[in-house]
Amino acid sequence: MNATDPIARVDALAYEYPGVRALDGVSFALESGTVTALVGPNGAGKTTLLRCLAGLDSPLEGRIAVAGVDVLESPREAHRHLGYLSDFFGVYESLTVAQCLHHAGAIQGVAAAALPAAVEGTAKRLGLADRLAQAAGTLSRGLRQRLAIGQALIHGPRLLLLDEPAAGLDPEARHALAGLFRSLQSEGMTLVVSSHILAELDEYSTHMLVLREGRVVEHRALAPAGGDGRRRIRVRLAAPVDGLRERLEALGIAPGAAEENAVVIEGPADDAGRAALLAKLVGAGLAVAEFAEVRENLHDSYLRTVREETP
Amino acid sequence: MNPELQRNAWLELGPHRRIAGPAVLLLVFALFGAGGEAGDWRARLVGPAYVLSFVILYLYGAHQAAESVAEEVRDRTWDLQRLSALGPGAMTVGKLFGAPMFAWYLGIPCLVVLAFASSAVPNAPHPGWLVVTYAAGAIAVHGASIGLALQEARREARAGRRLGVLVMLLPLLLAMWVLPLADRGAAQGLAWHGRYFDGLTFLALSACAFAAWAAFGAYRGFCRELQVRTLPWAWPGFALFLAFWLAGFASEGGGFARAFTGFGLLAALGATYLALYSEPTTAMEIRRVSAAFARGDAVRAMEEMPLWPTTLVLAFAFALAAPLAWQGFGESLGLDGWRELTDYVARAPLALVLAALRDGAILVFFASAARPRRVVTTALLYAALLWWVIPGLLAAVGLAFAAGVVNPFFGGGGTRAAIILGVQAAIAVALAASRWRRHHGPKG
Repeated sequence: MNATDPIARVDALAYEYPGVRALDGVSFALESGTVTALVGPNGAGKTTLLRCLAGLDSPLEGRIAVAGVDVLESPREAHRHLGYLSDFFGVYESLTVAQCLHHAGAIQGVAAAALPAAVEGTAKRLGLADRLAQAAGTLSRGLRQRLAIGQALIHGPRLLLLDEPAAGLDPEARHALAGLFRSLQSEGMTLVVSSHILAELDEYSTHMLVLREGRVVEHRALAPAGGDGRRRIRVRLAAPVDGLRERLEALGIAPGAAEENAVVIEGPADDAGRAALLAKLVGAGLAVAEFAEVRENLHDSYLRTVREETP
Repeated sequence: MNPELQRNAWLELGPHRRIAGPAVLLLVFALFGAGGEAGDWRARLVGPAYVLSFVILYLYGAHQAAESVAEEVRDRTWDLQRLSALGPGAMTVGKLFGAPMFAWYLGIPCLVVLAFASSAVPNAPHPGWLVVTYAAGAIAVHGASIGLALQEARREARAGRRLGVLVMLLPLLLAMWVLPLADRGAAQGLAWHGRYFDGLTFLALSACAFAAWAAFGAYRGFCRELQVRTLPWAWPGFALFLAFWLAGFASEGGGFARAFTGFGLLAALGATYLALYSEPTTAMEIRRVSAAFARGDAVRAMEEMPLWPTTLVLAFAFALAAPLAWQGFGESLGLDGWRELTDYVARAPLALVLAALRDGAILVFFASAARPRRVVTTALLYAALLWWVIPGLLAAVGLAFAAGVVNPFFGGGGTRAAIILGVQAAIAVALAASRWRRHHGPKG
């Protein structure tokens, strides 16, 4: 498997409950290092899809590969490459946090010699380092959530599947969770996060996969880059400028949607390029009050997609 | 160390338990050993050692073994286990010997006391075989408990609620059946497949064989839960083993074929009904089997198949073989009506298999409802109505013919029974197939 190959590939997946086609011809591929927001109304098939991806439920038809391993043919091998947090998870309440993590690592095939370091590292990453000796049953909801995520990722999976991970968490815990997901992504992990709280998903998602009545309605990158990796940047000026579009065109910048004192332009993805672009604008005498990448709002995108799909 | 053994050691063998458990045992044995009765003090320990071994290893052990799965489902940690990279073998060892770890921690000293105390009793059973019998029997009970818990886990919603207590009935039933047999066997010895055995030796070897089957059954249950696909030969294999084991008691004088087909039919039918009402047969499972067959993937279809049809096919084979095996039996006994006996032996097994097919189709019919609910209970109720309640009522009011139409065994006659039950089975299969196609069959 090459580094550029998708970390997960799903082909023509179908799953049925009595009288209900929960998944119907679902196909998509997940790029490595992305965070995919799995969204859709209740009953759309999100949990079923995650459970099939994790090899916990067998689909009626279709194929699933994770890290090049056929999940349906070799689920035990596939489990080495993935972690899964169920929406209704449990922890071993009588065990300590350290024992829970140790056990999770051991059953996921972490070598005995590497287990102490894995336990310590995971606890540190999840802010549980000072609670290793505490019984899991005495943890708060937020800490239990962190422990459960720790159990899912202690073996260093390449794909992490999370079903409603922020459910029941207070805003502070949700914020910490978002930070964790960003950090995992920056380390190259691929995440699929199902949630009803779109604002929270917006904080860290790079892609959106919309399910509706068991079918993929849309799967695309959020804030998509152009072919040359460019980004949309909103420039707001301190005061309205006459002939703004012309002045930008004279600078070799193609303006997009413009308001009286603001315009969306295309700019480079890297920081140095953006700094140069900003310097160019300021150097041209434009009083730049705001210069920020336009990130697509997941909530708006989702609602637009759903409206377009609704007959 | 096996991670499941390690986890169970953390849970089951805390410092307090490690010290307090043996201390309490010591006190109990000391109490009985120091009792005021005359005679060897060691002999006074035999009874308490028997009882404690049974209570700890069998009752408590069975409870713990079943809970090793049921509790995981209840506490929602079962997915974590199913997601692990552990194979079914490691999982079986971890659960089978891990969950009842405290029972073994206390049970082994009880067995040692039992062996030690028995050696002081004249004509007592051989201590070594006694310990082997008890230990292997406990493994068999634990394996069976885990197997039942795994079946229940597949039902998910109700899993584990009462199972730990329910499985304690297993060792009680086993004790009621085995102990009288053991007493008789120990006193007289017994013949099995033409060879004579000391009763306890035979019991110990049998317990080992059943323990191996129970452990293997648990292993196959874990295979299913861990999505490791296997061909369904183990369940009919166990029915064949059971038939061979039972036939050993009745095969003296060259009657092995008769005994084997007779017990084989009973074992296969028993296994069919046990699987039918214990494993969750759902419309979706039938859909998977049907989809695999439609793709021409017979191996996958067999892997996805519920267990009960496999032993039903075996029972059908035994039913067809029965007339050949029992040919001339009535004549050899000098019975006047041997032709009637031959007819009954020829047709009644087929009728029994057709009845099982009918009951299976009834279950599939209810499982194929648009929103199936209480499938097993409803199917059991209908089976009871057809086997006993309706024919019993009809017979009670003098409608013997009608009773014989509902349950032909009320009217006797092998051929008639086979025809009536064949018609019933055909109707049940047609109704089940029609309902399944309507609600769950491939669309379009």
